[in-house]
Amino acid sequence: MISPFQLHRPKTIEEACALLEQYGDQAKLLAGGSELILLLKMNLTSAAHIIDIKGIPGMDAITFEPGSQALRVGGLVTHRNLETSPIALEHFPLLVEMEGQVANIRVRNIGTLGGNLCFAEPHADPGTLLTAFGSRIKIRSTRGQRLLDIGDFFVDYYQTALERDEILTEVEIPKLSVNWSGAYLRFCPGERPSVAAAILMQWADGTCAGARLALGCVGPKPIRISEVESALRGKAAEEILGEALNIGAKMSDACDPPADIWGSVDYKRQIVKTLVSRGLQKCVQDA
Amino acid sequence: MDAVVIPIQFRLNGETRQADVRTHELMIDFIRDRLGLTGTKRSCDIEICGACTVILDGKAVSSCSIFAYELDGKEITTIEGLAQGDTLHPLQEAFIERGGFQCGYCTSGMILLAKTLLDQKPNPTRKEIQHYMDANICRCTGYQMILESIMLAAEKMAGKPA
Repeated sequence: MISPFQLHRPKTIEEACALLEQYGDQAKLLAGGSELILLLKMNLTSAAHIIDIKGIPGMDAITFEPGSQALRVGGLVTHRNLETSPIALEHFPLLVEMEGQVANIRVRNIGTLGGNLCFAEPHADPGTLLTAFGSRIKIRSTRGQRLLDIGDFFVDYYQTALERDEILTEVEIPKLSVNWSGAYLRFCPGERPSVAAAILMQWADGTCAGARLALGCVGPKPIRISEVESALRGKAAEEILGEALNIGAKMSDACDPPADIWGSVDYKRQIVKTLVSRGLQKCVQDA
Repeated sequence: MDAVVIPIQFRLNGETRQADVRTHELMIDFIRDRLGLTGTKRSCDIEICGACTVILDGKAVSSCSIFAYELDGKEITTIEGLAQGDTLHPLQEAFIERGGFQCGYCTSGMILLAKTLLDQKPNPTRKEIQHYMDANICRCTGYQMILESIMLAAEKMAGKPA
């Protein structure tokens, strides 16, 4: 059973920050609640004060800034908002495709991208793709504002760099320049992915000009595999196709997945290899 | 801490209602125990299975994992709100005609979830229904007939002969 709590419904981000500072450890932020309410029900966390931030206007906006060429996703934007956003579809079709696979439609209707990232569950979809995109996380508190690279935002299992008085207000996703193709692939026997891979490749005259390779669910947080990224640069598309399984094997050697309920180490490495190989094939096809 | 009670106002199956809810009260408990509408079923309790699906402002949500106070200012439809008097909703008719249930425990959630699909997309393809409905679990595994029922309901709702 959930313990009683005082409910706060701030109308501005400043008010929310002040409440969070005032109640500190006793308070929890609530957006969609699809993660927090489960924890409260299981008594894995508790809060004397719940700060429901859904009433803060403007935080549910999805905008594309032509100047910085970045998609700005407000902290209250739900997975379903992104899945059905024409702006997101125009500039980030892969993001829309990924969001359409998160959990189930009921969760996507209320769960927010921001909340998903703050929960830092390693078996989640968005973090892996956003890591490949090189996203940044905008954070507010009464002390001011800061911007963190997603790689620094995720710290450990269920742990982010957020201080107890800080609120995630926006996710900033920089658009890739021209001639990129991409793939997000996951192995998902249930609601959550057991292993995930995000692959983005830039092409110039049939040759790989740049690559972003991220793996998810194979450790405490999503990781980029930079040594394989640099090895791909300069390789012809056909060469990459021919070596797809070898490249997949290199990716799987570069990660260190734990053996857990999602599978043994060898099993996960095999899935990484297969997903990466398929992702590379898709990137070459779409080049 | 003592329970904190707040007043809410909402529309329930087309009627305006007022109630006092405890902040920590879950929507499913409010619906079943306080409103007495037991067509909404509790099963997995972790927003996976969809047995507790209700429609909140046009969107399917899991009532097991949302607070009752979130009803404030909103419109909720439960399975009890679908029939108009003795006239069943086309989805209810179709589920009966195609045998879209076995034990019946998932049925309320299946019908409500399907309603949100058909309200947005009156003529979905079989694949679109599969993708959308994969949210909800039928533990009898009667998926085929559920799919057939929704296809039939779409036809009924479009006014075509079944």
